[in-house]
Amino acid sequence: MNPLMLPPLQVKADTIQKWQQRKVEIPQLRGLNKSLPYFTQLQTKLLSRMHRNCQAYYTHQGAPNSPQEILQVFISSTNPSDESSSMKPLMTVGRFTNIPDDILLHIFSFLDVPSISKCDQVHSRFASLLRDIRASSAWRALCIRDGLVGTLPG
Amino acid sequence: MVKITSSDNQEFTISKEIANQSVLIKNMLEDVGESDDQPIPLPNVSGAILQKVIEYATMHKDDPPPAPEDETKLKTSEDIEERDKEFMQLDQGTMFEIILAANYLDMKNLLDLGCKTVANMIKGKSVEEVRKLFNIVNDFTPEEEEQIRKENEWCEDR
Repeated sequence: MNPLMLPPLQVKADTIQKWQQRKVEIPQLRGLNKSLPYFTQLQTKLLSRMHRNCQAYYTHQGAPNSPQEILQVFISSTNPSDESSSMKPLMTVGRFTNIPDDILLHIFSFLDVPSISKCDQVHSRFASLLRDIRASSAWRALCIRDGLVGTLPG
Repeated sequence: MVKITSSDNQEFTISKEIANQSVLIKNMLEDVGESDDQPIPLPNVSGAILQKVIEYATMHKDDPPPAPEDETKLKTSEDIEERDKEFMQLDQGTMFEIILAANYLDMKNLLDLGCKTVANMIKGKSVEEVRKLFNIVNDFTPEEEEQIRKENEWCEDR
């Protein structure tokens, strides 16, 4: 399966600043009021969510110092043999009861920001999963899409 | 040809090119070698679901090999082919069984298709609508619900 737990890419230092200075519209976020202060807030929150998830990830795995190390983290984190959570009994979540966490995250990874926010409020298993270290890549994907993070240097 | 058996002991004979779309079966075939004509047991998949999976694999047997994953590429659930959309017009139970089977058999395209289909069902729905759609019982206390609603206020539609 496509790894869902990629460590974050480097965050562009000037990103937030840029958002505050320029009026940028995001066509992907449908149905939302595209006013500047609101979007600045939205993007800041999105970025901070990703930060929070990634920090948890690094606390757990140790922070990488080089792109090579990131690759290692990436491989070990997707190794199914150290997936201790798959042993836990699943919470009853209607149709999703038998669906393991990694597939749920895969489903979430195709959603847009408003829909992820809705899922967060549906059930405690969804909420804890979206706060899990493994959700960092779902948030990261959204940040990449909205141009908040760049690629690693080197 | 390759023989596979489902959890309920139904036997299917499929061509190698169809079998190879499952990374699990492909690896098994490489391990046991060509000469072995013993059926491959698939204890996690029922016959009815295996039938659907084979239908999907047959439909896609002439597809070009997938392009390497570009992780900076925008992930979208809007790019489902028309024939795949038709294939996924199933009851929810079957749909989730197929997702689990695709995961077990390691068939990335089918897994993606299933997950995208579920994502499309979630998109644009309210919290209560998502619960209703998938038969999910709200397990938050009123206090937790209020807390989590506040946490998500920042991306409320306005």
